[in-house]
Amino acid sequence: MPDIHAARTPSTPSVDLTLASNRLELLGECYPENSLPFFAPLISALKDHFAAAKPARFEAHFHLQYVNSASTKGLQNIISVLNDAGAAGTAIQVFWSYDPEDDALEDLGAELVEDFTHVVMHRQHVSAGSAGTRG
Amino acid sequence: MNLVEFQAFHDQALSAGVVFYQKGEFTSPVIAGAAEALKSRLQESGVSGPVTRKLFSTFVEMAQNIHHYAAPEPESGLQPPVGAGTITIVKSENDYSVICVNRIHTEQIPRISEKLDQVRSMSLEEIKKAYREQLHNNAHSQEDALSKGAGLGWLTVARDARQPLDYSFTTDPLGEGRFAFFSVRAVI
Repeated sequence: MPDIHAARTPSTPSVDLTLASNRLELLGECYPENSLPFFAPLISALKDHFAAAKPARFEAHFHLQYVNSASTKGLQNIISVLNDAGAAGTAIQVFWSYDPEDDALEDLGAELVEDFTHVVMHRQHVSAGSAGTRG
Repeated sequence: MNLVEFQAFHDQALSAGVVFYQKGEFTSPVIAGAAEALKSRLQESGVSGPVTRKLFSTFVEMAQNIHHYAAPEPESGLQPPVGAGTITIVKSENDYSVICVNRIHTEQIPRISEKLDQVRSMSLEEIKKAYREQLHNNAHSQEDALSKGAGLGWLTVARDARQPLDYSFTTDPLGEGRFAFFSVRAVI
């Protein structure tokens, strides 16, 4: 199963899924033109990964800027797959980083995991000048 | 349009407080480019982080709504065609108005009116609650063919606005009764 490494674009985040490290990172703006096709390969890869093995732990790092309404479903689908893996015994850690002035992103982090009990969520501030913003 | 006509248009835009105007087919690169330009402009003008975020969010939601749902321009060369419209941001002393206009088929009027009337009738707390409920419903939905805004588009815009969204429909005089212009104004 191949890793996924997709470069950042003006409207989509970079996606780095490193299966051997059990790590996923999404970084950047998140308003793809069509969100389901954007998230589908990632969700599929995650499902395949957890179907093939039960890793002890998995970390997902989200450092997003603007998340459009359509992307909320794709993000929920990711958390849902992680939650299923969590229910099966993998320790799932989700890191949700956001600009402290961005109340919408802060709230979204909490809302996304509300329905999922097998995910441990860490919400953390980052300053506007950090790696997540465009240089 | 000659220069004298342009001057009248320019003066009117200036006195109306127009600070941003984007017209045409809202393709993905156009949306991203315009959104970044808007964000830079606001940041350079010293507009606060929260207001900048709301204006950016409202612009992107409206632009993507136009992209997906607006009637394309009849002479469009794009395949598949992309929705076209106009988004304008007007600054007044105390607030900003983000106004979008696009052509729609008249059959869409009842569905759009119903959704917007519903959102307009809600208080801010009710909007936030409806947003969280929709998100919760989406989490449990197996339905991948959700509407492109995940049912959240207008709630997202209304949540950032200071007052209920305004909207109107005007018949397209060239549309042979089949098209109308749909306008929405969000005050931030």
